[in-house]
Amino acid sequence: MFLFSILAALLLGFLTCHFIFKQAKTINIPFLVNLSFPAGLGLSSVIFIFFNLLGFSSFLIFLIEIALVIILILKIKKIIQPSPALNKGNGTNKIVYQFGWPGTNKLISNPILLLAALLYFYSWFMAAGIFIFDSIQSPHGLWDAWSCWNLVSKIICRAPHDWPHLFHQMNSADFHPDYPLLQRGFIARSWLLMGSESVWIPIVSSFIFTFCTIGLLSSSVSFFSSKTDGLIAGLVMLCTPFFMIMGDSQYADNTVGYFYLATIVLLTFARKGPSIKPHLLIAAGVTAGFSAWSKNEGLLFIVCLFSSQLTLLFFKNYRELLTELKYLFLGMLPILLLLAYFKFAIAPHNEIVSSFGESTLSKLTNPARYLQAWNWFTLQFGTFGKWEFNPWWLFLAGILFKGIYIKDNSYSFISNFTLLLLMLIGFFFVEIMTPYGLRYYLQTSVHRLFFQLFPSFIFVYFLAINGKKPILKIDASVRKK
Amino acid sequence: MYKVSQFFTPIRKWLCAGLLCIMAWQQWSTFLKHQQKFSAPVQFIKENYGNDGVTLYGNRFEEIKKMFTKPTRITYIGEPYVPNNGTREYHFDLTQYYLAPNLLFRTNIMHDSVTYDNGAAGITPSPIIFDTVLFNLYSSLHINPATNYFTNNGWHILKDFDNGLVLLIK
Repeated sequence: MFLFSILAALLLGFLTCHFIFKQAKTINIPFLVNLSFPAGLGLSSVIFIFFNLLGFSSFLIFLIEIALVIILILKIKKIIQPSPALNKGNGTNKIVYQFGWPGTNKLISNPILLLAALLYFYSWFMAAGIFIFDSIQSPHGLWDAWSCWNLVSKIICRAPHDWPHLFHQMNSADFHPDYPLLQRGFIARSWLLMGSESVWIPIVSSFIFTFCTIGLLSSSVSFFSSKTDGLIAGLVMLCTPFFMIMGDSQYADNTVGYFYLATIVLLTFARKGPSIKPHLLIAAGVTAGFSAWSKNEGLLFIVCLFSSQLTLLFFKNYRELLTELKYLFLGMLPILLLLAYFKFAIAPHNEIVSSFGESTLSKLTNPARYLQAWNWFTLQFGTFGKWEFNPWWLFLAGILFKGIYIKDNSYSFISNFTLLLLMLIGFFFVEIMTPYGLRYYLQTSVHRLFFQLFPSFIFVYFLAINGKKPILKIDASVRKK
Repeated sequence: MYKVSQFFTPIRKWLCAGLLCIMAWQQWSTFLKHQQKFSAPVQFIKENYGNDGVTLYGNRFEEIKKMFTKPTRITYIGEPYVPNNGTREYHFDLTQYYLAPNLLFRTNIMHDSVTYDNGAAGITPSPIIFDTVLFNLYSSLHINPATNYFTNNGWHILKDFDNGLVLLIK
């Protein structure tokens, strides 16, 4: 049942993403897998919480998931098996699946690509080893995992129809019941299906989010830049020590960071070519919604996402931009509605939000707090990721080697870069306004906040140093239309 | 126009190879650290799967969990200053984790209970309504019914687990 509960979610995600890319002529399998598996966990979580609140039993909810999987299989079967009429015409309706790996000849002729590919595999297996070592040592994850994330999963699992009532009575400081439910909901759903609270569920879901972040980053950079760059981007993530610790600790920071990255990648895909691509924009909206369904920082991400798009008013037709924003919003709307219901009807007030008042104004006008937060941010910058050395010169080296070239992805680069900048500013002000002791909050949160943005930063970085004009594959058919 | 990146063109491949090797070395170094930690665990973490700190602590609560037929609101009190604040916080969270969906609440009592075994002094009424108290005793091991605030105020010991845990109800 353990495998069944996980596989059903993964399959749901895979088929949904496949359906979104139904108009594509070529589908890159690593990209699709790395995009769809975490999305499947998110979808399962949303479906579970939605129907659970309606009073459905866990088994019935699982049947709904299976029914969705069957419907999607039938729909996709129609797409990949074109009708005879179409075959008579040109016979080109069939989707081509690619694994995206360079051929042997290409590897031999490009020693750097060969070295990067070998080191990528080596680092991947090392990282998997680290994940397994840590997960065996701490199968329940680190402190926040069991005292906050998995704890609430237990409450949902042990009181599947009473948990909203229990949430009402919870104390925010002790339980953090206002934190969104993607991870908690998925773990509770799987535990309920299994009939036991297996530690493997949080371990496997964390593994999926951690390694799919690396895979999605690598495959998307490969798409927009080159295979060598894609492998190097993945290597930077794999070799950053703290990223793996964040993953195996079973915290939700990698989860929310994954959905930031997925949103930025999908938006960049959507902005390729002259036409508007509603399916990609809706998908980007869904992943942005999932980020808000993962952690409260995801709500800040959505605000910054819409704000960052406004910078494009200087470069794009405003009507086109409004249409893009409409699709983006439509994608996230169902998840935001569920989140709003959870926030207003079930969860107690968030501590930071409920502490707004006169003290907030005095904090915001206190220069000493700004100085302390700034010093901490710059300190984290120097010791980022627990590398043996400061890793930022690796990024500087990339700029020196390749130069900066943003002409091909200028819209995406501008909006994505602004988005990351706004997120950093937002994080900074949350630190300033925190109701907790400033030093304590800085010590316990800044490094994790930086890590949420790190995969997206690497993607935007490689967009900027990309010197090669990309060939658009996924949306070739859309462009023709 | 001359670009800075052109300066590196002749040696780009070698520099790139060097950077890749540095990353591989970093990964090997990280792997060794985690492997060493795994082979020589510190504190209470054992090598055997499932015997980490969380699991070991949880064994104490299996019996208590069975005593509640429906979710209960419990006040949790740890013996003050023993062993230290961090450990008491850790144990509070662990207790919460194991007794879910029962809700545990920290109250002012926890902080003011320095004198909990010496009478009623210092105890502030809790704003949270609760009907069960869980004492996590460390060095004392057993509650003293003659001097304890609760036993002197209409509460009685429901169960003494003989290992530093005492459950009181009204």
